[in-house]
Parts: sequence; structure tokens; C-alpha cells
Amino acid sequence: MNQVFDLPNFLLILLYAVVPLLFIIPFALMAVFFERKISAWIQNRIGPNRTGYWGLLQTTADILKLMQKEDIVASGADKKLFLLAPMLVFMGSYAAYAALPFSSIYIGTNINLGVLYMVAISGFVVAGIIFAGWASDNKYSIMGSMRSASQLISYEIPTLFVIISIFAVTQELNLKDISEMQTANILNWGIFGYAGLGFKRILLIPALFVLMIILFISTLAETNRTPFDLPEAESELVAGFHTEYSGMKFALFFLSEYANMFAVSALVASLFLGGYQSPFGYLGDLLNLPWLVPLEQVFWFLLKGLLLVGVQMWMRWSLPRLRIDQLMKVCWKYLIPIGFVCFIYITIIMYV
Amino acid sequence: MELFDIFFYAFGAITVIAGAVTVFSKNMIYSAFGLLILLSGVAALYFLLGAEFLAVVQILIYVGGVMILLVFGIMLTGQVKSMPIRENYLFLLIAAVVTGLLCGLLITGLTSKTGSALSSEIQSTSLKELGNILIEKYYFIFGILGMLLLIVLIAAAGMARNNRE
Repeated sequence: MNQVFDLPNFLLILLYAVVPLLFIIPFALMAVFFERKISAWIQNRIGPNRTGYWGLLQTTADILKLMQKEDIVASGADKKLFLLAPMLVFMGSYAAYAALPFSSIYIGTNINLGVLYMVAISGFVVAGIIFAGWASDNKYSIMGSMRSASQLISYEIPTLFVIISIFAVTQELNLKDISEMQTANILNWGIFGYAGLGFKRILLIPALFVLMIILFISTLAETNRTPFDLPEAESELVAGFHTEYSGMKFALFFLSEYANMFAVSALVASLFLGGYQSPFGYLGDLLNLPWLVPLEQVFWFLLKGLLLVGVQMWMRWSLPRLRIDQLMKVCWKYLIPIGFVCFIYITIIMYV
Repeated sequence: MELFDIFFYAFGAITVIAGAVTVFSKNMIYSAFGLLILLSGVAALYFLLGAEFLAVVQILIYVGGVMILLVFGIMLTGQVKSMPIRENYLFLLIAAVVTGLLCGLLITGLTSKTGSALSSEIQSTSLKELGNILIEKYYFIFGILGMLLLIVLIAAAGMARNNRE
């Protein structure tokens, strides 16, 4: 907080703020492509294979098409909110990247409450979705945004249970410090009970494993993806909250969804799978090249995040969509009680 | 003028404009949107002043919880656009007195030198210290607030149960 706000510093801050965007856009392009390829493999199809070698340029072509589309605003829609809602959604998912530690030298802002911040800021996504649904003036949109709101509010509770449990173990909510605690050794990662806890670790492992599954499920629900994609259930609600959106505004929703997917995977990876830490020492340390270490850390961070994104896609194409009452049941009758029991168990082990 | 000041006044201006939209708009959804921007503007000011915990909690509770429920309620009611704003001179008088008092309190608080929060060095409090203060110094208030929340939870559960039968 005490840093000087002069112009070079300000430009540096701007540069820091733009870096995630340079990652998100190519990531979203490739992720959409691989989503289609993975769905094709799972369903024993070929998938896109016409545009470019192996269909690699398919999503680029899609984006070019979306950019050329006429920007249609339905006559009954509320023009101002209709325009602002996609921006709000993208802003919410982009702001989450501020707290992600990509490596030990790059983190948007080293805020002490990184984890909590990431959960809190997703509230903007919900608000954007609700306003989008209302501004569209379409019953399917409004039903989609209602579902989205109830779903996101419910699933925030298990997420927070996991976070306070992690806080009880690490006494840290700073994502970078949590990543530092999980040293470059796979046995010290969150899922194996963090470093420096000695004997207690063995007792913590089952609870931490359960908590990781809970965090994965509840954050998956917060990204509105199958099996929790009720806000845009095609079979019931046309396309849910973005039924009326076309062109670049639709692309913004899409971009935000993929940005969210990575942010959430990176959160799970940072808390439980070592964050940017390598599973076994660094090549840079071995060869005595200190500048290599942060680059390796970026590599491991992206690898873990992308693998979890892959798991999300795998889930999407192998599970059917839940019904709304089942969705609420999963959250309130299973995830929250299990999360609470894990929290109590962890506090007893840590402090008794 | 430093960049810090520019940011501070920019966020302040956004907050004030959003507040004006909230109060003067005849469309309830616009009011809600204004409130959303207002609350996040206040959170941004907290961030700028180094009160991270307050800012994050502000976003978590107000933007993520209260605002969503508010908009939920508004959208489920029939008449949203062109709500007639009730103008009652008695209410106006009460409002003027209360805002005048609050305004005076704020101005005296900001201008007085002694015990002013502005003059002290800004430092971010860690969550641990905050927790210790809550448990050690203000444990009574903390406990009462916990009880209040418990009562609200039980009441909400009770209401939901009655409606179903």
C-alpha cells in the first residue's frame, strides 16, 4: 500500500493488469477448440477438422464470424443494461485474475485475502447475469438468470467452508504464501497436508481430499458448466440468460465463461495442488540458472490449470445435467454438511 | 496531484454519481444497478485506503449477497418501470434532518486533527490480528451478533417450512 503512485509505477501496474488478458484470449480460443475435440473423442466422432490443419483454426474462424455479425438489440430490451451486462460479467471474471499467482514473481496484486477476494469478486458475474436476463425482456432469459442467481448464492457456501478450513490449516489466505508453503515437492502439496505440520498431516489428508472434491464441485457450479449449466439449459430455456445476445456481446459471455473456468481451476490448483510449484525440484536450481525458475513456475501453473480445465470438459461431456431440485439437494444436503464436518475435524486436529 | 489522489477522486465521483442514480431513477432496476456500482465504488475506496478485509467483505456480502437478493426481489415483482416515487413532506423533513446531522458529523470528524484516521499511517491489518481483536476485545458484541444471525437463520428456516405445508 505504501508504494509511490508516480507515472512509471502506474504504467507498470497497467502492464501487470494487461498480462492476464494476453493469456485469456488465446486460451479461450484453444479451449473452445479442444472442448469440441474432446467432446468428439468422448462421443466417438471426429470433431472440427476442416479449417486449418486438424481443424485448429476453427474457433478463430468462429470469432471472425461473430465479429462480423450485426449487433442486434431486441426492441423490447432495455438498451443500457443490455449493453452493460456482458461487460459486468467479463469484468467480474477478469478481476479474479488479479489474485492468481502465476509464478513467484508475477502476481497481479499480492493481496492478503487472495482466496476470499476471488470468491467475492465472482459476485459481479452473478449480478451481470441477472441484469442480462432482465434486460433481455425474455421469459427464458429471466428464468435462466434466476436459476443462475440461486445456484451461485447456494454454492458460495461450500466454497467458503473449504476456504475457512484451508485457513485453519495454513493460517494464510494469501494465494502466493499458500503456494510458497507447498514447497517444490509433491509430498508437501495441499492435498498431502502441506509442509511443516509433522504427524498431523497424516490425519489431515482424508479431510483435505474431501475438501478438494467439494471445492472442485462447487466452483464448477459457479462457472455454470455442465452438470450445473441450468442457467442455459438448451433443452428447456433455449440458451438461458444469453438467448437474446448475438455477435460480440455473446462472445464476451463466452470469453468470460472460459476465463472463469481457468480461474477456478487455478484456484483449486493453488490451494491443493501446489500452485506454481513444481512436483520435484527445479531445473533452474539444478543448473544454477536462477532466472529459469520463475519461467518453470509459470509452466507448472499453466499445466495444472489446464489439466483441471480438461477435467471440467471431461465432466461436461460425460455427465447429464442435474435437475434444479437435485442441484439444490447436492449443495444443501450433501456439500454443506460434509464441508462443515471436515471443517470441524480439521480444527479439532489442528488446535486440540 | 498524485495518482493516488486522482484514483481516489475518480472512485469517489463514480460512487456519488451511482448514488444519485440510485436515488433519482424512476426505474427500479436502474436504481438497483446504481446501488451495485455505489457499493463496489465504496469497496474500491476501501481497497485504495488499504482496508483490504473491509473491501473484500463489502464485495462478498453486499455485491454477492444483498444486491443479488434485492434484484431477485425486484424482478419477481410486477411493476418495475416508472415507479411513482412517493413524495411526502414529513418524510422529506426527517430525511433532511438525518442527512444534515450525518453530514455534519462526517465533516467534523474529517476536519478535526485529534484522533483522525486520515493522519495515521495506513497499514493493512492481517486477518489474524483482526480475529484476535474480535475474540479478545469485542467478544461480547461478537457473541451477540452471532446470536442474532442464528435467530435469523432459525426464523428463515421456520418460515420456509410453514409455507410448504
